[in-house]
Amino acid sequence: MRWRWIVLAAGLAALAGCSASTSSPSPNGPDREIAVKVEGDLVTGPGRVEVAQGTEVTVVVEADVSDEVHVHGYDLHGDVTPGDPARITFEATAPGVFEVELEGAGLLLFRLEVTP
Amino acid sequence: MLVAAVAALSLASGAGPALAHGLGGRTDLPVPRWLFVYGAATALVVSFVALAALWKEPHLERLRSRAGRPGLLQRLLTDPTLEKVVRGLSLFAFLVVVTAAFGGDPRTSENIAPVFVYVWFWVGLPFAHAILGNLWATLSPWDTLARLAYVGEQPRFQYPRALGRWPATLALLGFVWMELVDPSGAAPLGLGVAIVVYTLFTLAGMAMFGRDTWNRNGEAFAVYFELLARISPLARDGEGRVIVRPVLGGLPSLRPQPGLVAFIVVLLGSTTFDGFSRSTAWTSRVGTLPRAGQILAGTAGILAIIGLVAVAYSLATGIAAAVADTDWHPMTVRFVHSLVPIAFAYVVAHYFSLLVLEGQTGLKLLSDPFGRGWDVFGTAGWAVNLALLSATAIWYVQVAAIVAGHIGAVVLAHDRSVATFGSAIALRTQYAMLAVMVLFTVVGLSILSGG
Repeated sequence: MRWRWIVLAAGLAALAGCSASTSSPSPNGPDREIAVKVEGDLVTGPGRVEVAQGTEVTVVVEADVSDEVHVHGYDLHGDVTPGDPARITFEATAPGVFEVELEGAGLLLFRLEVTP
Repeated sequence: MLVAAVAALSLASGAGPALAHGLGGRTDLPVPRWLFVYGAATALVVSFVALAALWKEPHLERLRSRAGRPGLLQRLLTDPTLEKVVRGLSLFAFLVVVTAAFGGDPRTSENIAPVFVYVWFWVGLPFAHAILGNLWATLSPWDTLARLAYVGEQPRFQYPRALGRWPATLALLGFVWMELVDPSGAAPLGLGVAIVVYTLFTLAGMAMFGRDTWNRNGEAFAVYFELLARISPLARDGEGRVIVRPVLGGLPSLRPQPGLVAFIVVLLGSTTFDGFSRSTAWTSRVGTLPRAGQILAGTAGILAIIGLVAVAYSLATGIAAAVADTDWHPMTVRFVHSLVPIAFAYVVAHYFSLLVLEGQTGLKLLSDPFGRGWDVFGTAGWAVNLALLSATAIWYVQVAAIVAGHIGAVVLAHDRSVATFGSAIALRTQYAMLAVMVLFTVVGLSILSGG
């Protein structure tokens, strides 16, 4: 009967023992610009971009249609028209993997990975 | 029938983003390699220690629950007026969700229906049930609707024993398909249609076979929440009093039923598929397909993963049965209760951050459920705080959940094997069971750490 608790304690101790220090807030990283081009159904750009938490990110999207760029999670929108790219600038304060898509067309532009 | 209706609707409607996970668009960062290794190692160490320390007498199998002492809390929890109030509130919420789905803003982000169903209901309620017990018995709007309409008071037909939990399993499959494969599964209108279809299906089942029988066998969410409620230390005894028992204490009394193994396998498989479908390996190949191709690939994928889970579990019980010189099928049935902690652990690991982060959207939409610009509770202007949970905190919860689920499964399987076989044979049967549990744990962890 006692073995169950010993086993449980061992498991938790193992987990606790390897706990790193809590992540300290990272200083604002250098600014990062991500450029994406949309031609019809084809998306040209990085599939996945990794930035550090706190980085100032600028998303620039060129498209051959009029549409809206949506940064999920941060819930930011920017309009794009042919010849007038969308520019969305924000500070990546929240960690996670966020999808950036062309709303009307339902096209995934890229995934933004914000790491601590 | 239900699946076909939803499938037809999703193929027909072109609206909505062609993303597999239309809700939120945010996923957790992959668990770092070192944490994955520690988690897997812990699970392995625990398993070997547990094997070595295999207790000789079953403990969980012969539980004596502590009866709750009568008192204010007991009177409160069993008060019939409170029950009616809770039922009324739950039914009201259900009606608001259905109204929002059909009449509210068609955008997923401005409508309360998707976040209510896929976050508060599908993720929040499992958490609540594993902690507090079977709340769905009171919360189910379908049960309340049936009671109000006097549906299912007396069964019209005898429920065929061979059918068991199969109706619930098929309904569950339909729901997870809509949640995970259908690119517009999160769109309010489709959700509304699915809810109405399911309501009719449920009420029909209740009318034919009796309300309680259908709740036990055919209502997918009642079956699901009842399973999870067995993890909770709180339960009701035969007289309806609240009693206390050890965590996982409700699982050994899970009785075999046709379709029960399938139900749990679908649960485990669907959550595994959800994690897998977020990996780069999947999205890089399937994300570029046209919509119909995505639906086809997703359907094949979820069925394949469910199949793999079924095969892995069957293999383990098959080997264990061979070792113990008994039949395979009873073995599969006798040990399926040990998969429930793993299934819940997967739910915690994959969806806990969704509940805490995207769940905040629900609080915001509470003030403006139909997207009309209202502000009923003053929360309409709330900005969702996605930095509420640090990445590290999320990782620890995910790995701890998977390892804890593993430990729970091992304990249950050990106890059952000793109760069934006597310690010498029990030990030998446990090698195969442990192997499959370590497999589920390692696969679960690796999916979390796959980018």
